[in-house]
Amino acid sequence: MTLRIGSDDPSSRCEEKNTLLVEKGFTLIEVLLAVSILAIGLVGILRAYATSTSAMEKSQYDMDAVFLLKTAMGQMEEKALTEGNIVPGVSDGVFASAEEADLDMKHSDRWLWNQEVQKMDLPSKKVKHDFADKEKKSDAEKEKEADFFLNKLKLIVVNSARIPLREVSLETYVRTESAKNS
Amino acid sequence: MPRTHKTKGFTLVELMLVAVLLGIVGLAIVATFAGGLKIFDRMESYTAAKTDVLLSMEKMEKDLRSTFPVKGVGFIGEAKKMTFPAILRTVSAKGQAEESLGSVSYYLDNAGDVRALSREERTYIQAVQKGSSEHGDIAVLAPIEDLNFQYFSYDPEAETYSWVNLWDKSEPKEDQKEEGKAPKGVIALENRPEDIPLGVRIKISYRDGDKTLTLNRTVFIKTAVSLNLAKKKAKAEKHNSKKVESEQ
Repeated sequence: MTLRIGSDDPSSRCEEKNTLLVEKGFTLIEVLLAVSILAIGLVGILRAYATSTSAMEKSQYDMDAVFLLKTAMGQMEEKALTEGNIVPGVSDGVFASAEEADLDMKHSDRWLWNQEVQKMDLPSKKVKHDFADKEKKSDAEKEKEADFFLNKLKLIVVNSARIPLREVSLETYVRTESAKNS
Repeated sequence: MPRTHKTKGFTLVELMLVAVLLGIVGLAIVATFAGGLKIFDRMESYTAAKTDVLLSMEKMEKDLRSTFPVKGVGFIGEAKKMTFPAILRTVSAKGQAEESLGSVSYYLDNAGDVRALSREERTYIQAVQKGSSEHGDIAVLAPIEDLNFQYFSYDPEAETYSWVNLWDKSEPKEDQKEEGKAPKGVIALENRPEDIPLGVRIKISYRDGDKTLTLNRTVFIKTAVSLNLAKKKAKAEKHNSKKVESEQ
């Protein structure tokens, strides 16, 4: 099996002979070189695939996480309203099921949340009302009847199945009634 | 044949080596192809439908957060439609961004072949006169299966919070009818904190492949929450001062 280069035209037979003498097909080195160049190209293409996949997954993860964050934040704000107060401190838990989170996603049981409530010190606590009897109350009493409390609420959502862990957090301020009413 | 002994072609070993190398490269190509198919499958599983629903929810949330009690433009909420005062952002002919007060409606549009979530903007004057929209409605999301709104309300008498399906404070209450002398065709001009619900729950059902899914979003309107708290406080203080007076 030989590789023939050139035409079968009889007039160029002499040339062909010469060519064949010099060009005896591909050498092993040439083939190896071609294969390695091809391999490098393929690696590039594969890497592009991998990058696009990871970018897509990251964006999907963030979208799901933000959705869960907003769901949990809504629940907490509702609770703060109906109960008139939020207890300061740290708490955490698991999004129990896809139904609870209103979400159609895989491994929804692996979504964890962590919540931190911090009562804020307000420099000017009161918006005074005209009918409020200011003079008869002591400062301590006034303090008790502060119009509202401001709570810093920080919520973190993370999926334990994803490694490395990627936390998505949301911070907001929730106004609650004074402790007196709760 | 005029062959020279130097032109001996490939040896078997050389050929085998090339075959093996080609095989490896071929495998890599097949693997790449399979990987591409896998990615395509995964993209299909996270459908555009969900992304679109989430996006339209973001838009609604943004509008809802900009609402506040406005004279003449009430917050009118029904199960499938809500209209509320909002800040409208438009771009003028000169390309400048402009913000103005107006009203925004979101509703389930049944008119077409498919159900759609539509949005309608009205300028302040159009909203007060209950006129029609200048640009007509714009479908935000189509097709959808169902749309539902719920409104978080506070009952000052019972001192309880609840989710209700209807929010309409534009009609003056029985005891205030004498005061409200609003001309016909215009929403009663009353500006009360309870004009705006404390929160809105948006529920959108959509079809994804062969199943129907529902996404919820709860938006709390901080303006309304603050007003409500201030009102509760004022009421309590009024009550207290009355008590003090009666004791004296």
